[in-house]
Amino acid sequence: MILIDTCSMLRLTEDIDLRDFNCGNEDLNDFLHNSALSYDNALLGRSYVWTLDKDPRHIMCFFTVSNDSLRLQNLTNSTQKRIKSKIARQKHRSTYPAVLIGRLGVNLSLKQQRQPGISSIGDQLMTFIKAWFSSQQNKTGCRFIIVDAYNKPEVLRYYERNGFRFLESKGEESKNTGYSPLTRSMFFDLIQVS
Amino acid sequence: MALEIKPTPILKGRSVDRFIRILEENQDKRISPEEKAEMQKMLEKTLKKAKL
Repeated sequence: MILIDTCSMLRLTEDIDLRDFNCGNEDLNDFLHNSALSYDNALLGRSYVWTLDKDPRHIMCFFTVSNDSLRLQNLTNSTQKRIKSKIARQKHRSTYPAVLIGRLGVNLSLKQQRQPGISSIGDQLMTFIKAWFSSQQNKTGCRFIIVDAYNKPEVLRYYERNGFRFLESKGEESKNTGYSPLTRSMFFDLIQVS
Repeated sequence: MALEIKPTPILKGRSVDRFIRILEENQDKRISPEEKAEMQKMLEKTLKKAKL
């Protein structure tokens, strides 16, 4: 299935019937069904759903995004110089604009219908998000996509396959939290697609 | 109740070094103009029929 040929993206509104959607993850389902609109109303996160053109009751996938930043602490002069050489025209600052993917889910029925030679719906959706936030359509500067991914092999594999890297190594993260985290922070550098 | 998203960590120490190394690697990982054009086409097609 090619997402852009068969579906349309809509901003989530209360007119959209969400009952049909099931991505197989209780937290994500619950968020879309019960919290996504209130997040939008409170300007905390905006959700977009992809509905099937031939039957818009079917929601194929969704994602929720909000503004965020990537922050670096206690930078030495040499570190600042290294960063400046990689991020042009940055002054001595340690905060970089980013968009946070707060939630992303794909209809369970599509996960079970993989077609050889065609990217998964999740991969197609991620390509769109990268294109959107690195394009002229995005009215603010945004260098990174960040995500707090479930610490599950299939989820981490999905983001790694799509070019995301871990913000902290596993050892660093465990050291900071003292336990194996439920989620892991990952990022994608939009300069790669700009 | 939906899982609360934890704050994005503030990178420090070794994590900063690791982050810069990744940025350095990314300099050579840019997509080709053909891939970029393909992405742009996909974006335009999507936004044309999107309701935002």
